[in-house]
Amino acid sequence: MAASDSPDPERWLSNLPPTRVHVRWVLTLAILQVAALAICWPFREIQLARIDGFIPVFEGIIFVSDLITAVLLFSQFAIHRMRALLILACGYLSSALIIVPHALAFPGAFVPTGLFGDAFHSTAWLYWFWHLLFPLALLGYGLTKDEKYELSSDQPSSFTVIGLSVAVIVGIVCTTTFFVVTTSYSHPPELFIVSMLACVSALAVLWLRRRSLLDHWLMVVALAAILEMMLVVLSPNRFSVGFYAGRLFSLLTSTIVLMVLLEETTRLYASLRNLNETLEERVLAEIRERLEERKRAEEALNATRSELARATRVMTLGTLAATIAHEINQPLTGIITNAGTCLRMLDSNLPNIDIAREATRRTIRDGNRASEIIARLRSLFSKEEAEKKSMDLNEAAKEVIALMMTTLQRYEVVLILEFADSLPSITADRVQLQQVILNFLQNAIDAMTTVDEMPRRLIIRTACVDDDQIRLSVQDSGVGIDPQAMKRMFDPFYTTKSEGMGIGLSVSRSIIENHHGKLVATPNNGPGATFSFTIPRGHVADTIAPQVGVVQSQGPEKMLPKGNHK
Amino acid sequence: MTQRSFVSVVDDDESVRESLPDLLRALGHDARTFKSAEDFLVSGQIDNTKCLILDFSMPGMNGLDLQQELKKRQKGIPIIFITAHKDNEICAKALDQGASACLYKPFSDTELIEALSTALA
Repeated sequence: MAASDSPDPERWLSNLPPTRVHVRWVLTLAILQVAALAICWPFREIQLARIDGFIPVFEGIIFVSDLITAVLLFSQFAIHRMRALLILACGYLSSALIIVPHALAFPGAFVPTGLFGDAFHSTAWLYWFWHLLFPLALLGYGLTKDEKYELSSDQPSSFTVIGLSVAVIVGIVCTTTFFVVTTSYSHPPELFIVSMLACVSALAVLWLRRRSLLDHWLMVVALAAILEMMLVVLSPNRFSVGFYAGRLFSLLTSTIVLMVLLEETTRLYASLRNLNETLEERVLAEIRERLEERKRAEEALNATRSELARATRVMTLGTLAATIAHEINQPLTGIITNAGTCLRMLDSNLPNIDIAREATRRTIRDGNRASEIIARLRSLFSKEEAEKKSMDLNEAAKEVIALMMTTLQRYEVVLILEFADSLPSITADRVQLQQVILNFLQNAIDAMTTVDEMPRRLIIRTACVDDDQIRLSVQDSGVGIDPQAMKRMFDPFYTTKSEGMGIGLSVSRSIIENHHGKLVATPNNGPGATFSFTIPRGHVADTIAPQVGVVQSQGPEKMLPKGNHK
Repeated sequence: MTQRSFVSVVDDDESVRESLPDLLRALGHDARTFKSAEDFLVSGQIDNTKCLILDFSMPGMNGLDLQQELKKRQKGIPIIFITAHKDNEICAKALDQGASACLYKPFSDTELIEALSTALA
């Protein structure tokens, strides 16, 4: 039947339009019913064997079937909150409940005279009440099914509504039963007309307002009830062909909706599963897309980061260029001035040879000084391309320190070098590591410029840790790190300096991470902070000749041009 | 250069302090050097100084600070600034504050002579 044409679980029997196949089934069943009635009509008066067990078995089936149908309909009401569904559920519940006294009162079913009532009229009365309540429920369904319903907060909960409805039905059935069994009837009930009228009206209303699949099946139910009542009225003898056939119609009334409900539930389950699969596929596709996006973003980020690293390098070079200019301009001033003096001495009538000699000596000295600076720069920039080679960290650090020496002296920084004696060589990009060290030194100096009340001490240490790691740390006695800044100091463009760009540390960290190392900043116990990086030694291609450890006394002084050290 | 003028040189760079006095003497001036602004202020040579050759960036008190300090003390010494940083802004500021000249290192002796003659005029 219903193919899983609609994967929408909101669409259910009560609002699902029937397909052509559905209508064909409904029509076939209706015709079959009428045909069955027509066939058994001539034989309806014929008495068949009295089977006392028939009533308990048959009505037991109806009881269970109607009860299940009622439960399913109640649960549907709880979902859709349609009054029509509630009324229909009540109809099935009343049908299930009233069967109980009917079976008990039926003579021969349990005891020969029936458990209560007057053995003949009581069951008939109960039967007609049964066949009155159910068609009324059908009619009620037909009349209310197109109501617009809206859920609002002041509505009682489904649980309350269903509970109340069940109580009302139980009350009606009990009261009816009580009156029926306590009254002595002299005549069979004349409820037939009313019941028939209710049933026909229900069929008519359903026909006129037929829309959903459930409407169509309920028409079959109403038709079955009409045919049953006709048979029962026109063949009043118990255990006749008409009696048995009527019960079969009754069975049809009771089970059609249940079967359709079960079928529909299965269909819904299937479509739900399909929906779930589709959803899963969509979610997977979405996840895949997100991952792709993320990958693209990461690639873009990496590109930006290397661009940033390059930019910083250029920027650092810019700063360096100014430093270089300053460094070289100083000896050049000396050279030019000395040469000028010398020339004047030689040009004079009475040349002062001593002064000229002294000036020439200073010229040579300053020339050498300029040459030294250039030599150092050459070694710093000769390996411009980023490539990892075996290198000596102490040596690389010394070159950077030499470059910064004038600045360090300018700010009266006491430099203490604690270089490890036999530091193993590492495989790394020398220029990049020097950039990091330069950044450390620059930061340390910046942090100490505002500190006047105590000596500005800068301790640079190198050490071998865990056999395969090498660490370099720069400890200053500056203003230290603001706890606020601690969290963000590695973020690109975060800076506490008025003229900083905030990229030094972030780039330094990416350089160290590219070397599979770690860069950390820690506040000192005393004033200032310590910045350090640790990198693995990496694969060492060739061993560097062992370096003599640099200690303070033979440290910077030795490497540096003579200046006015303070 | 008819008369010998007393020129003070304040610079933290040793090359300059060593070379400049000889040239100044060759040019017919008396010269004395100081490695910092503070040294100059306590030297007792302020009143003798006819011209001050002054570096901008020095540890401690810098050139511009010294210029302000002298102004405060109402010492109208002509100042020739010398600097290894080619920074037009700072030069303009110094000239605004009354400096006589601003020379970028390395400067030629011609530039120095010109600046001295303006300052001592």
